[in-house]
Amino acid sequence: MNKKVIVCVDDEPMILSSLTEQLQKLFGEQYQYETAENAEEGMELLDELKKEGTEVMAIVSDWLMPDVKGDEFLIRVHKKYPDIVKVMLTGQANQKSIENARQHAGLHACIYKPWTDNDLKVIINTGLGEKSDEIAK
Amino acid sequence: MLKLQFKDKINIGFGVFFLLYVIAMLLVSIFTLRKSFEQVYQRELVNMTESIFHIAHASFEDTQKMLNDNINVLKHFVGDRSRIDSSEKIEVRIENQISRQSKLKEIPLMFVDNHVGLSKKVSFNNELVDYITRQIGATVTIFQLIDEGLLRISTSVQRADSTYANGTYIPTTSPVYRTILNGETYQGRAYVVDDYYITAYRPLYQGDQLIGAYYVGVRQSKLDMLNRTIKSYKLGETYFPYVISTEGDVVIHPYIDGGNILHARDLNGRFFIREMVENVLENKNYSGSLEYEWTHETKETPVTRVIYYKYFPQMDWIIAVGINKEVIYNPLYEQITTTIIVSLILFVIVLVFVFLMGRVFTRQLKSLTAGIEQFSRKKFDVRIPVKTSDELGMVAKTFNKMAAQLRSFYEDLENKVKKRTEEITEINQKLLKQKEELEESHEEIMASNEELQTLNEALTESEEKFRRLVENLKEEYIFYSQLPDGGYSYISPSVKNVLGYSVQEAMGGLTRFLTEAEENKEALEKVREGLKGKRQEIFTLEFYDSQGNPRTFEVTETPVFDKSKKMIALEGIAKDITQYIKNQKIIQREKELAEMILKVVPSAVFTVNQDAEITSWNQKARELTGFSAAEVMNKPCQVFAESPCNKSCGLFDDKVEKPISKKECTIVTKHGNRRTVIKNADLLKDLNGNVIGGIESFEDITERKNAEEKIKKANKELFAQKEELQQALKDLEEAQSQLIQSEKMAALGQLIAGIAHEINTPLGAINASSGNLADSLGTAVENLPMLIRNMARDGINLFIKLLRLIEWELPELSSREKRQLKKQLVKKLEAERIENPDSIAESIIYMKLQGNVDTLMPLLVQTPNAGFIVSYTRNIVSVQKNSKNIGLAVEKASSVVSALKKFIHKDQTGEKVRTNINENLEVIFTLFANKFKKGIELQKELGEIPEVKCYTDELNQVWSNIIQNAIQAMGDKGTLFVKTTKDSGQVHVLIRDSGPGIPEEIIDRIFEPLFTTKPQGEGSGLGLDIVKKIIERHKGNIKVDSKPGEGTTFIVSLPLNK
Repeated sequence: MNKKVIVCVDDEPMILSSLTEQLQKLFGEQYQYETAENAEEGMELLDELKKEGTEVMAIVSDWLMPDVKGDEFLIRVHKKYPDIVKVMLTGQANQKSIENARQHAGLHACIYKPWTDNDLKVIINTGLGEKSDEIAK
Repeated sequence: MLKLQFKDKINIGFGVFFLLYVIAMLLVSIFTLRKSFEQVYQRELVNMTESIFHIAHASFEDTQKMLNDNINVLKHFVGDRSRIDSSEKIEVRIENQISRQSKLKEIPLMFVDNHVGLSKKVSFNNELVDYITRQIGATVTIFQLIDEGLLRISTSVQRADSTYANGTYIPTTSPVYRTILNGETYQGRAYVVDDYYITAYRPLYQGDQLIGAYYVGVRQSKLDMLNRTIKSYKLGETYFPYVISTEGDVVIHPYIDGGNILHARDLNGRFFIREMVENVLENKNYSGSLEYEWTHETKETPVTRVIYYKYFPQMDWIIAVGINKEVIYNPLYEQITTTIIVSLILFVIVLVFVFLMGRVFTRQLKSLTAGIEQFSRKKFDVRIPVKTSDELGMVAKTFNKMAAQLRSFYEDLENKVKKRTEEITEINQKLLKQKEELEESHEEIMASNEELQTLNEALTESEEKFRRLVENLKEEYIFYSQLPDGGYSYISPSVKNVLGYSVQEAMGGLTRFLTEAEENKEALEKVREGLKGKRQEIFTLEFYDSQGNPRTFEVTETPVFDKSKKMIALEGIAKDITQYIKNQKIIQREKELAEMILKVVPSAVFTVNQDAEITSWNQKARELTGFSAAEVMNKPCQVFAESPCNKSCGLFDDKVEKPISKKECTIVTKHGNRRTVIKNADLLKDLNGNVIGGIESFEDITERKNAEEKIKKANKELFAQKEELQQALKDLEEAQSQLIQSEKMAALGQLIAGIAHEINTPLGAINASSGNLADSLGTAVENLPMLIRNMARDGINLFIKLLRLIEWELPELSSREKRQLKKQLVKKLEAERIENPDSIAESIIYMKLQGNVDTLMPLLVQTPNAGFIVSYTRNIVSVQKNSKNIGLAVEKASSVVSALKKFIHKDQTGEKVRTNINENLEVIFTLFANKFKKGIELQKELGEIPEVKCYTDELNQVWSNIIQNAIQAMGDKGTLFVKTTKDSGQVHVLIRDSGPGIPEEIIDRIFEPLFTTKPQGEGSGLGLDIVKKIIERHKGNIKVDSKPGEGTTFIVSLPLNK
């Protein structure tokens, strides 16, 4: 059986590598961690995983990326995969975009760069908890 | 003067001449002889030195050759036959032959084997060496090598006190020791025990080991042949050769036996030996000569010694030959003495001979002289006795004859004179009488002559006066006399000069030359009246002269009457006044002109006499002062002047420079008004240059003055206004500068928002990575005991393999690749029934070991706890990966911070700095990096451009402003094109966006201050205004080109001000 997956999207490889490893440390082997460097690649990944039958639990996306911005990307994801927990990662608080994502992408939370272990853990946990709650319902 | 007899004169002259001759001959011969003597002796000295040198050289060579033979003999006895026996030792006293220090030392014994193999002790046993010495005649020594040097253990060399020199040693500093130690043979002069010897030394071996040396030698002072030879060269007491060493030791000397004479000094305190040695050793003059003063012990008189010397290097000797100079000169002096004595004897003989000769010569001469003396006293009857028949005798005879003739001639002459005197006396008396008569008649003539003279002078004088008068008159006057009928009885010849007509022409009637002038008619009337006898006043007539020019005459006519009062003639004088009239006219015209000038000049003009009383006053003066001419005439000019002018204008002051020019004064008008005038003044002088008054002109400059004041005041006000304006400008500039700064800060504020992301991203990575790093390290440490435990169970092989195979530098795979790879790996692992395939697969990918899976597989299968080992290794890799990540993040963050710093940087110096515009643009690009990520594509073509002198921070503001505008115009989406180029004098920066462009109606307004298209609060509207100002400040220009729908291009051009 395939593991459940958490997807990270960011145009900075250094963020991707440190973030996935951090997630691995925090959540261990209960999840699989996949990465994408931009919105397009992220979408493809989601589609692929779906095809494989792998369940994507959460997606953590950077906001400031070339071409498609995080909020827009998450809105698109939300339209296709409303169940995935969406978290936005940003180094620049753009309230408009956050609000946009909240309203249209069902954004769970926004993590501000630089973030702490704990932020990440709590946000992911609460997100996944909400989700399991939802499932429970 | 001494009265000398002729014979004595001859004697003395001859003697003196002879004496001088002898002295000169002596001097010449002394000089020549002395020189040749010196040369001979010099040569002699050199020859002797050279031959001694050759003898010494030969002797030395012979000795050395002999010694070489001898040492071969010695070798026969001791070479290869000597040995040291360390088992037997004796204690001996050893002594350094140089320092003379001695001590006790234990040495092993030396033995020498004889031909039949019997050993013989040689240490301190002279049997063998004495034997050999007897055979060869030279001293012999066997040395033993000890720490201190070469020890004489068996020697026939004797000390000064005739004891054998056993126990003395050659110290290690000696060249002999060094040569022997090198295994070589030493030959030549050497110091042995207490003296120099000519020597030969050879090393002594026992097998390969150097154990000592053997020696043969001859004391240098014992070179008998040489000694004898040199001593035999002694020639006399003071002429001898000798030999010294360069240390000054006497080697061979006829008088001195040994000792050191290096510091010998001559009478002048000169170290002549040392000088010679120095010449040899230091100056390398190996031969030479010197002189010195010396006293021999036996004699008291000091002498000069000459020595010639030559250096003999093999023995380090100086061979010298010396001689007293006196010895050289003695024969010379003897010769001179002989010459003088012979000369003196000759002198006496000659003197006697001359004396006798003189007596014979002078006897005849004496009687001759006495005769002549008598004769001179007119004793003509004197007779000289004739004593000889030679020339003197002849002279005496002739004298006697001449005296007799002279006597008869004298008597005859006396008779004739007496008779002649009587005749002359008679004639004289006659002449005297005639003379008296002549004198009388002469006086009469003189008296009449004087009278005539006086008369003549008076006549000449009056004639002269008259002539002058007429001559003067003839240039201007014509005299004439007219008869009552009008005919002329006389016309003076001056008519020719004055009018150009001859007297005859004039006589024909002057009226025909009259001009047509009106005055002539009246005048002719007067002439007619005059002819009637009426006396007329002076009148004028105008004639044409012979040239046809009219000339005016002033005519005075006087009638002449006879006794019956009947007029008989009219006498007239006509004076030519043409020139006078002409002059009068000119003067009149000038006067009128001057008056006219005075009237029309715009200045007031007046003149004064010497008392400063006004003598003339023009119209303008009247207008300016209000005084009429009548009111001021003959009054002092102070009437209208005010202080200081009224006191003294200085015109008549000697100290004041004339003319006075442009002097400012104040006057008071008749009506009491003060006016400012500017005046010029000068002195008036008569024809002789005497001052007769002054002239002054002045102008009223009151109005001008007032106007000037007004202008001055206005200027002052203007100046103040200008100052104010400048201050305002300065304030404005300051405000502008503040505005620029605040605009910069505003731009910065906008930038910061974007930059936050650029900094927060690496910070996030750092934060996460450092956590990961700590975690991995913590886990690794925690699991260390377990790792060790697993090591024992084959784990170590896997662990090492893993560590070895890790590909640290392999690029990261993409997410998709990883996923696919993982799937394959998991399958493989599962096939091998390995536990935790998922985790292991992931770790393998994490560690980039995918290429080595096949190598690893057997180990993964074998190793019981492979999963643990793999994950442990993964932790180690994690440490590396995360720290690398941190490094990258830090680099990124600092690049942003540094760009920011460069942007904010305000140039404190306030001076332009050479700046690379491309670098600055790159800084701006870094700051806008987030924008270029968001959707703006940056295309840049930064060409090679020279550095530009500029205010860097201000230019940065220009770039950021234009780029910011471009990005905003493009709505965060589009292409920004930046290009830098240069041409001959400028650098151009082109910034083009792909935005909508600027509408035509506002394109002209974009540089206006406060003009903005942005919503309120977003832009101050100052941006482009400031951009323009900054560029103007750099003497550059900015151009904008925009078409709606095609984007906007800004081109900034900056001069390359070198």
